[in-house]
Amino acid sequence: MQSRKITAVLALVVAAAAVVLFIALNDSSDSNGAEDRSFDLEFADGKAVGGAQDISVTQDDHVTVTLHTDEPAELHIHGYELSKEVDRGATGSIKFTADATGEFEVEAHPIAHGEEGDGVEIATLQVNP
Amino acid sequence: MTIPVAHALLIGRRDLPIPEWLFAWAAAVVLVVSFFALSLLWRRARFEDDTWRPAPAGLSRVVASSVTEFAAGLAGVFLLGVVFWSGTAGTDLPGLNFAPTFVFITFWLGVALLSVVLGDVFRALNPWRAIGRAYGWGIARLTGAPWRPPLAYPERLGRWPAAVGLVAFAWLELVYGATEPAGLQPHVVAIAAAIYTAYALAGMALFGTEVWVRRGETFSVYFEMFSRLAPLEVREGRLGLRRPLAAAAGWATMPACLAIVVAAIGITAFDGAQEGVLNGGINGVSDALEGIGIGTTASFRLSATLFLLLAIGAIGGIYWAGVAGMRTVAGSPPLAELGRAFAHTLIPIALAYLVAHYFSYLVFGEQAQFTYLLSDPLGNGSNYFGTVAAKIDYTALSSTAIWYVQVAALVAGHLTGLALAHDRAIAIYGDPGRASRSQRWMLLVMVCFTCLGLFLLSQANQ
Repeated sequence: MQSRKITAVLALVVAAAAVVLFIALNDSSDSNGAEDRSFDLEFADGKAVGGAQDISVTQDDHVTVTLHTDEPAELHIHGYELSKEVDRGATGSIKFTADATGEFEVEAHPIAHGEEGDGVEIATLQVNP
Repeated sequence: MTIPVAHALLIGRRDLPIPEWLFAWAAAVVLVVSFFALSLLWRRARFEDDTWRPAPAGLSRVVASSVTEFAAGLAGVFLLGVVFWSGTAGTDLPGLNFAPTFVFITFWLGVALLSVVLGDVFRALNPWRAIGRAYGWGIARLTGAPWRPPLAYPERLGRWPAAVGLVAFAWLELVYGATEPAGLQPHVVAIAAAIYTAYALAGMALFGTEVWVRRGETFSVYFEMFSRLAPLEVREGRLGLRRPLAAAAGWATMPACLAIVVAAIGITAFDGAQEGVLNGGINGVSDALEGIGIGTTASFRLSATLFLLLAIGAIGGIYWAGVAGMRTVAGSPPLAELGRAFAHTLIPIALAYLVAHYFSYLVFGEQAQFTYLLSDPLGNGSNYFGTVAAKIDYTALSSTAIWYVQVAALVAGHLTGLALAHDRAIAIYGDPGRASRSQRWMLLVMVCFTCLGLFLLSQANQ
């Protein structure tokens, strides 16, 4: 019985220490101020040049995503539901504030004969809290 | 060739993996809490008693009246009809059609969570049961004698038909739906719903409505499992209160209950792992299959099916390893009996996995369900309730809040599972000393499941 009580007290102390450290560590992970972040993506031959990119920003950052494409395509940021049509050989940008956290797909939908095709993933946008 | 794996719905947003520090702390807390739980061992079973107290008669009359029952059944049939209608007549873009979101989010996740809080609500809402009962009532009216099913249900089949149905449903969403370029198409959902309806009605016609609902009807069995944790129950036409968790002890009374709860955990684990840790393996096997001349999509589906079954098998393996360990304690019943005896202790783990993996999915999906999908179920521009222009607000839940809910769900499920297992051990072994020795093994099982759950959440999506 005695050893059980000691075990219980010990466990409680460790649990309390864990909670305190948890809170302390959690606070330090907060970031300071919004930044301006720009990313250039290239779409050629129906693919993302260099494969799908991993883009990582912090919540509330001002983000600019720019697409260069060799065919008419629509740049689409899922979740934020932002899109922009870009002409052959041209460049188009979407500017937004990354207010929602999560991992969002960035796709290019090639446009042929005025019809939008299936999206090709060109980047993953990670918005961290 | 690699097929990008996508969720059947809401393609384009995923939860962020839980950060390493949170993973480490949560795992540490789980270990400490388990250690603490072992020292707290109570000596008398606390959750094996499912005493039930009737609620006030007025409330009972409203909730359990035949009018309410009829209305709920009618609502269920109506919603099934809307799924058929929107799935066949509406757009084939999954995110803009009522059917996929309704079936895989509102119904599958929403009713499960509702059952944990309010009890077995699906019993009243079940469209197939309503049709079966209406049919029985009609026959009785016409012939003057109560309708009798032609066959007696083979009791040793237990709940196996429901278990198979559960895996088939998961396969449709996680394997078939993931390989479609644009997610799970609404017309496929409508076809699947039609096939399942025919199957459920056939089961009821052969073996009787209530017999099939309790054994073979996948969704009844699945939701009823979660309702065992709820503090509310309708007994003999009266609503009443019982101890939360208490009804779980009486759940696994027929064959295949263990298979159902193991499959429930396994399919959620597979869903969490297929975009992360299992991604490489699935693509590897898929490439190998393609190498021997099988088509790209078929290869991927075969490979993913294999890994889905492996995930379920792995969960079962962990559980049976723990049971085998427990069997070394003197005075244990035979292995199979011991395994069945602890099946219900996994219900909280299944719930924890469900909440941890799908909580944000439900919150975001319901925003769509109750705004634009309600106003425009076919996705053709109609606007019945004036909410068609609404969008999912992804800022409604911060990633930090999602992380805390995920970790809290896993830890709470872990504790609840341990409490139920400890209780059952006392009931089986009688002697607290042997009960606690047996529970070191269940503790190990629960720690495995909880740490696996945390690990899956911490893995970056590929």
